[in-house]
Amino acid sequence: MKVEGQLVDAIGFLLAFTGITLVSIGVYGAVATRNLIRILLSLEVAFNGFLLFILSVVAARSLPATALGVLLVAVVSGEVAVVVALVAAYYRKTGTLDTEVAENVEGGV
Amino acid sequence: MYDYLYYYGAALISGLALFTAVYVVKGKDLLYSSVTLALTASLVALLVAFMGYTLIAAVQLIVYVGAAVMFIIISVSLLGAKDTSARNEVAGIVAGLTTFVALSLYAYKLYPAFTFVSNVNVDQLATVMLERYGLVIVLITVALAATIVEAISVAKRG
Repeated sequence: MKVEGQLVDAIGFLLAFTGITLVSIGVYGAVATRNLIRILLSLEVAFNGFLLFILSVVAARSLPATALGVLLVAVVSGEVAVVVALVAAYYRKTGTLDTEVAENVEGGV
Repeated sequence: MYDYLYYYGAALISGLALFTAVYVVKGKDLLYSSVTLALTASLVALLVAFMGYTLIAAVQLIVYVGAAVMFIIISVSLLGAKDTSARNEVAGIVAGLTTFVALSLYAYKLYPAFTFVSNVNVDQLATVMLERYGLVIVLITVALAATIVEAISVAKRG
């Protein structure tokens, strides 16, 4: 891909800005809501933004950055499996996904 | 001419990614939000491919969108839960703005001149990953295997 000069900086700025904004949107969603699924979805948005941001920052070192990106995606995919299983167990026990209820659940999920 | 098309293409995809991300966070229906997350992740994979990281984009599409997000969508549709909880918009906006300012300052300090990644040699990458990050890969593999067992155990016990 041959894109040179100021346009390269402009695209780099654009992608880094998109990443930062996605992280901010994800953090906003995770803090604003009390629904467990919505918190998970918001954190996934934040992860996508973080991936974009970190790749745009370390773009000069392509090989370690690629290894980092592949490992990040693999770990987050595993984390999703556990969190969704926990949320499903929590919903079966309490009948709700509201985090306020979690404070009153006895004996854990 | 081609360069500007490239820039406007990236800008359009970035805008779409931000729009879908807002819907994921603000949408009323959890199932639609989950499906939109798949769209957001696909658009981010496209932006990652724009930078030259085609391998990461492929892994993101196949492993993350194809497996992880699909798992969320199927689970949400099977649970059939609704989002009826109250929202704390002020705390969310404060946290989001704080994150934005902190990351912007961090990016301003660290940001180098942007360079497009030349095509990464997969053979070279495999060698680097096994030689330099061999222990990390073993640990992640064990952790992911344990994660799968844990997920099945938790889901069955519930």
